[in-house]
Amino acid sequence: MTTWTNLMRAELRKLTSTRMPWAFLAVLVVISATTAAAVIFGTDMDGSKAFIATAADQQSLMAFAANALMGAGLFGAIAVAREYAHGTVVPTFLTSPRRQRAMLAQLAAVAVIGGALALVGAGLTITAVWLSLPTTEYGFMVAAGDVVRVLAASAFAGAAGAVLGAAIGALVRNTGGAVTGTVLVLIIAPPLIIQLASDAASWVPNTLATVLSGVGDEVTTLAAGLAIAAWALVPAAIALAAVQRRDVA
Amino acid sequence: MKVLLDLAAADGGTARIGDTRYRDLADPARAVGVMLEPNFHPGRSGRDHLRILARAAGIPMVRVDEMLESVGLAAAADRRAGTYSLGMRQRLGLAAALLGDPSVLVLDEPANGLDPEGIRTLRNSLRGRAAQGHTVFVSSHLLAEVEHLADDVIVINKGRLVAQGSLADLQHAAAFIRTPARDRLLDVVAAAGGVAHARDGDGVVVRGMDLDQIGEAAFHAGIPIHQLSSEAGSLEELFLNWTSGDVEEVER
Repeated sequence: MTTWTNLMRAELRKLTSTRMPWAFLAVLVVISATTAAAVIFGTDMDGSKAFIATAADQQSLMAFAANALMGAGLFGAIAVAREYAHGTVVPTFLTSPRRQRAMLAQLAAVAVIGGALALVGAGLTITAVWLSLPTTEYGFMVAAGDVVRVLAASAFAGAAGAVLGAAIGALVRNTGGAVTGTVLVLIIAPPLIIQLASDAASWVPNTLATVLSGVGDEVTTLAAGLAIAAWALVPAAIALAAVQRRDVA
Repeated sequence: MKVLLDLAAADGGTARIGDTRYRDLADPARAVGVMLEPNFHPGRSGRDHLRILARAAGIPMVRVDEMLESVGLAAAADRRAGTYSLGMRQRLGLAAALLGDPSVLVLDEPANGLDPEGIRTLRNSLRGRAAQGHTVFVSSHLLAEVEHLADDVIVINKGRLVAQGSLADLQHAAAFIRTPARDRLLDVVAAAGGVAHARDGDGVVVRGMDLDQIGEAAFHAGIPIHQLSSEAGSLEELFLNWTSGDVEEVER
């Protein structure tokens, strides 16, 4: 019998049975290595290492939520758009002809994997900073609670980003278009929105991600969490509404 | 087929499988096995492809190995599907369709890419399922293969139903008439509700009327008949007759 749990497990298996998660993991390793290199070799304009001089500076360097949002967004977009490109969405919809249920399982699965990848990315970045700081005159100053906050913010942003990307992938149904759409929504559109309405600056994804990571205070943490969720859930709701009505090629 | 499977919306009406719309089937994977064009992620192994389908439908994993074995893919099961030949992809598609041991099979061009031995195995397998009381619905352009496989045939040309019935009836469903008044006979047949098209100078092929009806219609119209006989032939010949006739009817 096709239950929601069965669909969710199948979607998780889909996401972990190709090389894509490993490719994203490799990117995370590169990002963390780059962060470590920045700590070891990087300086401010005056030649000092002021950018890692305080706990707040170090937390800001480790704040991975914005990267998680973007990276997981691309992950979700590619994962779902390729379902349409390869036609693997056809057996999915044949198994679950009530397509919203299948798509909910798909969104939940990309949220889990996106969140997990983001958590790993944040962990690698924190580890990179922790391992590279001894090469400088500064020690690791970020409190344990703030480290946990950075990790949690990254996982949440990763899950939300993955859902956002997956929704765009389901709407666009083309890998290139889905990637472009995700970049458009997360990177290109926010500055344009701020140009039109400066008050919106506090509510664009990057700002919200810094608030969640504890390195920004434009809005409250709760508001930031809800707003990031809205950035993901609104396109997800549109995709859910569209998926049942459209023909599958 | 996509309308039947709720993958595409119908322009009108509804398509049902056993009086039930596909979307309303309680357990579709166990009710209907489907094989359309190959739908695989090239980076995923054949085994994982089937495991995902089995997991989604709540089918025991042991069925995956059984199906891989039955279609002869056990040795290649852990290879990525992108490295499979067309025939191997077809066999994987067939394994996926049979995974839930459904009572209805819907297969689009199942013999495509198979070698002669594979085609024979497929044919025997499908005939065996039909003999057990299962329904096997196959779409194919290989009409010679259809003759080996099918009991009942539906012929669709450019989206329109051309002929429907048992294979044996369809193979004898047309009549061939030779007459010096070909154009008049075409008009008479059309007026009587039959479908006719010209062939070979003074020949006419008619379907939708039996020999008696044609003879009587010609007699009442005063049309001389030099030959009136059943038009038996291979499905391929009949298909070409039916579809070329449609073109001529449009032209007329």
